[in-house]
Formats: sequence, C-alpha cells, structure tokens
Amino acid sequence: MSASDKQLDMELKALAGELSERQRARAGLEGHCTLEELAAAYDIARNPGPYEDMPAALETRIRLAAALNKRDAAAPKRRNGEPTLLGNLAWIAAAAAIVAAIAGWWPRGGEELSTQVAVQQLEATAEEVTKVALSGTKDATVADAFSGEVIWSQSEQRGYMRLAGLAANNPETEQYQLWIIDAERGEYPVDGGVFDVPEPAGENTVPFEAKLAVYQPAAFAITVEQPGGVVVSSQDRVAAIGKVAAPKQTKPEAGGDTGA
Amino acid sequence: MASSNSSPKAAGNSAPEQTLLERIASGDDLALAACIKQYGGLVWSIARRYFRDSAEAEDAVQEVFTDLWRSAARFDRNIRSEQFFVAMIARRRVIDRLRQVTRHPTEQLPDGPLEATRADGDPEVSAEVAVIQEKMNELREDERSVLDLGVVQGYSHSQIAELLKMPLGTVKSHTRRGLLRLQEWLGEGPGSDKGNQA
Repeated sequence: MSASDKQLDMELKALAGELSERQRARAGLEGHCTLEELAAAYDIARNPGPYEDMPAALETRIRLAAALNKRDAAAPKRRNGEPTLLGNLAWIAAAAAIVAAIAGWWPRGGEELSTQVAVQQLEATAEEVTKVALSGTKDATVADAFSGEVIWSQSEQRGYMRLAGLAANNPETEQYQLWIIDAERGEYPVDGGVFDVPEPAGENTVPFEAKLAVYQPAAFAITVEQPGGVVVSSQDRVAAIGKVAAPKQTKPEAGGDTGA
Repeated sequence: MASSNSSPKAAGNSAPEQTLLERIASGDDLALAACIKQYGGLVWSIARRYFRDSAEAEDAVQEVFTDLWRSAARFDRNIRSEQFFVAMIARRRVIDRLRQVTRHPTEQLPDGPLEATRADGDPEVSAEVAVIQEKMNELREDERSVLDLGVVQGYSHSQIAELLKMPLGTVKSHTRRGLLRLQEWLGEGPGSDKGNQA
C-alpha cells in the first residue's frame, strides 16, 4: 500500500467515525481531511435546503455556552496559567445562574427521575401504551421462573422492559438485544438496543427506544448476541418473546427503513 | 420556518471581506451569533437526520458549534466554501457522537430516491453544489448507492456491506472512488494542494 493509499485509508476511517480525536490528530488528518470535506459537499448536494430552523431554545443555549466559554477564557489565572479554584467556582456559579434562568431546556425533563417513576410517567402521559407479556424460552439464560413485560409507547417510540429470571450476562462475551417486530416492515425486525442484566439477576427495569420508526408493533423479542449487538440477528439464541395482542395502527410521521 | 441557505460571505457590515469563520477566528463576538443564525439550519438538519431523539440532536448541535469556534482559524476560503467546511465539522461531530451512543446510525431512510434540488444563495457555493448535482449521474450506480447510504444516511461501512450484500472492501473502495470523482469535478485532481488541505 503506498503512502497515498495509507493516507486515503486513514481519511476513510475518519470519514466513517472510526478514529478518535487523538487518532485523528496523530494521523495528521486535521490538515488533510479531503474525503470528509468531499463527503460534506456530496451531502449538501443531496440535501441543499432550505433547512428547518433549529429550535430557538437551542440557539439561546449555544449562544450562552459561547459567551460563557469566552468569559471562562478570560477568567483570573494563577501564575502557572491554571484558573484559580475561586475563579472556577465563580464561573461555575455564574453559568449555573444563567442556565437556571433559562427555563424549558435545562435540565431536560425526566433525566433525574428514577426508572420506576419514569415508567409510571410514561404509562400515565403517553398517548398510547401497549403492555406485552414476554415468555421465556429454553435458552440457558432463562430461568424457569422467568417473567417479563414490555411497556411500549407507540407515540413516543420508546418503552421499558420489566424482567425477572433472566441470567446476568458478561458484557465482555455477550449482551442481550431487544427486537421489535413491525407488521408493516415485514422481514426485518427493528433494533431496540442492547442491554445487560447485572448481578444479582433479580428484577430489572430496562429502558429502550426503537432505532427506526415502528409503525405496527406485532411482537417483541430478546436475543443473546455478541457484545455491542448485531445489525441482523441470526436468532440462534432467542431468550424471550411476546406477541402484541392488539396491534396499533398509528403511523409515525417520518418514513424509515430497517437495518436489521 | 425555513432558514436561508445562502453563503454568509457578504454578511456583517464591519468587515464584509471576511467570512463569518474568519471573523470568529479574529475574535469578533458578533460573528458568533451571525454564524449560528447562518448555519443553524444546516447543522440542525444534519443532526436531525442522524438522531430522531431531539435531545440527542440538540446536544450534538451544541458540540458542533463549540467545535466550530475552536476550528474557525483552520478555515481557508481558498480551499473550499465556508458552507462545506461547516458541514464537514457538523458531520464529523454528529457521526462521532452517533458512534458513541448507537450502532444504528440512521433512523429515517427515505422511501424513494433523494431529490437533489438547486440551492439558492451564494453563486460560488451554488456553482460547487450544482457541479456535483449535474454530474451525479456519472457516478456508477453502486458508487452512488454506497455514498447515499454512507454519506447521506450515515450507515457505517460494515452496515452498508450487510445491507447491499457487498464485501466490506468493495464498500470502502466505492466510497473512496466516488468521493475522489467529486474532487475531480470540483477541479482538483487527486494530489493537488487545494484538495489536500482543510
């Protein structure tokens, strides 16, 4: 492979998001990002606008962050160049005060709620909530006393799993992965994300969200996969599955496709 | 509401010859807000394409602009338009963030072919975009499919390989070849100085 090919190969990795900041800098790509820039040009050519405005609250947040960064850079410094503790506290306090003054976007609602409260909140506030009982299979990870339930909000495209009797997994060797079988999509289920069951493997409540739009959930299934999950499951190890009793008809706004 | 897609090169009265990023790099505070106004829609559209969760998209957009302030000094108008530079930084930050939170980079694939429409605005930017749009059909179908999936919709190379039933190496070579053809169309043959800087 020539030096030019190696350079292009590194640029390709950078383009795919496969390099960390440090790796990118080490490879000297900051001054040579041709493929990334060409990709940006291609992206704009395919999506030339006009574009929807960003939310006004977000614009305020970014402007505020920029102002705080600038003030932070001008904060009192120690002789060795490090900001003083007092200076840091002052700027943190100032930032907190300004942040707190802007209601509605910080902190985001629900972040500090416990999982149980969040489940209850979802059940109480979501427009459509479907509960699906999961049945355990004979996979080695499933105890005889397995019980499971999926709580799914069609309008919010997310939900929770309540699981008991599923063995704790070693994330280094395998992880559980949730799949949402969509009657409208047909062959490929939608990825619901990977999750772990920690020790002790008692009852666990696991939040999840559909990675693609789900139009008509027909069933939910949990498989055991390699760490990080898979794009397409071989379904060699299905731990639990549950069918939706009454499929919902609501269709999300955006179109989509599966990758599973 | 729709934001303007025009180039900011003429924006601002204090230094009309400077672009927004050049003004930011020289410490012009007013340019920060103007830059958010000018490119907010573009950056937001990229983030929303990759993140359905609006909170994630918002966090990504904030990271993009933080990076833009930091990278402003590296922008060189002689190499490429400011719009392309902003889009490059936006795509880089969004993809980096995406790789951290999910293996599934895209959540909304279009049902039909993407319709490339001519952008209004700065003639220079439009000319670059128009060149690509006009020559798009010269790309081989498999190159275009790979670029659409990878560049526009954000699939990783391995995911594209699975989706298109194509060897991973072929996906990478199609991506590389397709983008290098863009470079040729933009008047920069492989190895030219102009094409190798950012």
